[in-house]
Amino acid sequence: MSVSYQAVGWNRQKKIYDSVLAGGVAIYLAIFVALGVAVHPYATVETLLIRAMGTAALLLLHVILAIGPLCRLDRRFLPLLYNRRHLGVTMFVLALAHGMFSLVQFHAFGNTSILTSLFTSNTRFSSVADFPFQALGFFALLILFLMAATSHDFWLKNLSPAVWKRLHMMVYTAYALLVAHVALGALQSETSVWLSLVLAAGMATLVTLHLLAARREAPADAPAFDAGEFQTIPEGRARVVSMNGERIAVFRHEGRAYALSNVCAHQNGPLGEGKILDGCITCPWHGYQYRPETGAAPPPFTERVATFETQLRDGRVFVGGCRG
Amino acid sequence: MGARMIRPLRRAHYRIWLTLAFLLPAIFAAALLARRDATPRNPQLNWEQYR
Repeated sequence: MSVSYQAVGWNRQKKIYDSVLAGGVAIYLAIFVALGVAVHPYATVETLLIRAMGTAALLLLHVILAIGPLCRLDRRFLPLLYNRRHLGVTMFVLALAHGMFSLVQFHAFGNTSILTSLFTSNTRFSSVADFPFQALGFFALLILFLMAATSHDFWLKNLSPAVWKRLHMMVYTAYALLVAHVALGALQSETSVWLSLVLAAGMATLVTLHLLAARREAPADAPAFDAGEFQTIPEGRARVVSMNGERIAVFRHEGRAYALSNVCAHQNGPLGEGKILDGCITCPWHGYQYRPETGAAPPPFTERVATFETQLRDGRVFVGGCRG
Repeated sequence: MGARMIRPLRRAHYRIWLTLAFLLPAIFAAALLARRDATPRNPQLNWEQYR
């Protein structure tokens, strides 16, 4: 880590946030273990801790995944977003402790290494009821480790926001793996209907929140720049418009509208003054060609121009954001 | 992160959760349907006390 970065930029809000978080986790673990001792007096402390930390991590993951859509649906939830990274790291620590205790309890006392035992003691991949669910948890933990390890502005800046975001979107893969880990593991032996209901309610809540938030934002993401009437653009030709200071060629081709940068990648020729030949937009200067859908030159050429979203509404073409 | 990055991300999120909306219940249902009745519990035996 660079000397110009601090591990945590503490302030009063973060201290309160983390105190509530640490207190909440400690209370949850204490209540879980105490109830466990009362209900299952012969259960070992290791077993109770494995269950307590596993359920705490899964619960926290649900909270973490709910914060994003909740904030998009109602700004009053924004304070929860403020220190979400610490929630994520706490969840990883709980999941790691759950995994380590489980590995020791179930795989450390044989004559093979722990990881060898994890991946070879059960190879019934074709069975649903006996599926090696522990491996699913292991791979989810790997993803959570990558996320926790890069959960800092240092990595956000050095990996670039796009790469960092892609890496952290792997949390959805981890979530699916963990649902499978629990459904094929704990729910196979713990047949209480309440456990199944809690997991089902968690999944349903997350899916509903994310889809609701996406639906609410869809109109705001719709292309908004009015590029004029579609019918007045001749087939295979373009109308050049200026959007936010950038010249964009809006082509009409086989009933659809395509918007591309008006600047040819070869010598900045005006693509909008060209026409579509053989399915490709053709620059009037030197004949460089680009596919209207992608802005890419047909193989073996590698040139590319930026494309923009388009939408036809009430006979007019609307141009939106750059697609790359 | 400008709109150029946010919009595709939102679209990706939407597609991912649409997929999960079908995938997660499928995993969950398959796991519950595959669940077998365990051997009846012996109330006289608590294996953990023998560890």
